[in-house]
Amino acid sequence: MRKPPSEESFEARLAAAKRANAPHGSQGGTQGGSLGTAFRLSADLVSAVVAGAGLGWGLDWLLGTQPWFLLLFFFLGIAAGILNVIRTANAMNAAQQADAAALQILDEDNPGDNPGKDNPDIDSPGKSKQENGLEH
Amino acid sequence: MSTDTHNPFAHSPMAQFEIQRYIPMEAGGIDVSFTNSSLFMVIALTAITLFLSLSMRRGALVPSRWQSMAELSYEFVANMMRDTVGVSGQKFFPFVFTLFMFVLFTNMLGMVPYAFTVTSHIIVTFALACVVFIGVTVLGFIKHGVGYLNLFVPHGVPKVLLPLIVVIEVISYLSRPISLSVRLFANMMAGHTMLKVFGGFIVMLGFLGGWLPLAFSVAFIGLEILVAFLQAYVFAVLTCIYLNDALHLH
Repeated sequence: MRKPPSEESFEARLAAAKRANAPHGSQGGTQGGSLGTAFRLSADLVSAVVAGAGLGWGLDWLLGTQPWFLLLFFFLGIAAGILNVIRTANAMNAAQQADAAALQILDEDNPGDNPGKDNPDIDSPGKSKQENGLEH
Repeated sequence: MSTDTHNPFAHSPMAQFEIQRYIPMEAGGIDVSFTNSSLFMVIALTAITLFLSLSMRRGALVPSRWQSMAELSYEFVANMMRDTVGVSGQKFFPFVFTLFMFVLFTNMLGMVPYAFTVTSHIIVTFALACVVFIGVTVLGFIKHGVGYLNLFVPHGVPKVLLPLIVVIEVISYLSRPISLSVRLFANMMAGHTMLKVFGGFIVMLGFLGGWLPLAFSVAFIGLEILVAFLQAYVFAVLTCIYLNDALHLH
């Protein structure tokens, strides 16, 4: 035993609580989550086009230069929409990677907790190496 | 294709979104009637107030079922804010919590048969999004002064491209309330229309053929409840992200 039993059980409980909390952020795997992702990306794209066209139309209306600002800002809106989508996608990727890393850390922190039922997603050689590193 | 013609709205999947004036009112030429939409907003607010105040009435150390539900909703929003905004955003917790609970309750009330879904109207979601957008913008200017405009000037852009990039960034910023409101509205309206259409299929196909759409409807109601929660969550999370942008200028 590396730790006194009471502390170990507290650690185990803490890790279990953390694990229970973790899936809140990573809804990307579920079906509803991917539907939400799809909706989010498409709304980001379309809304920027609408905002750009609206802005151009408003400028035209103010300055009396009928189609030109609408045309220009429509295309700028498309650019802004693509920028939005790229940003959202980057943020989603970062969140997903952070979640995966957090889960891995949780599993490595807690080798005593049901050793037979390890997560198959995490490759065991690297994990055991790191555990050995921690023990010595 | 409608089999019944005596009431054109009996089977229309859009009839559920109609606004009905319960108490007609007018103030300065503006229609401010108390409608079914207003009624369900009042119901949602009452339900939230009752839920939170009744469940926290005892304030026991070992929570009861209702108290744990109230604490769960508090912790859910508090954790979300801590993850996205950090400690400095905690003073905006009441705002985000109110927003989250309102959207969640109006979405969930919409799942009750015969109920009206307040968030299926774009004017409601757009008003909510505008409150967030204007509030965040004002907050950014209070916090950073004119320096808040640096939000539109990304680092390391060549001077030649700067006018183009700034315009694109401004459009991207202006698109926030639109995407925020359209996402919630489109989800709720599409989901409820689909439910109504498949409900119509059950009646049309009758006892022999109606079982398949019935099974689909049951599954779809489950998905809709998930969407109702998820969209309230997304609305609150995006509010937090915008708050974060205003508080911590990158």
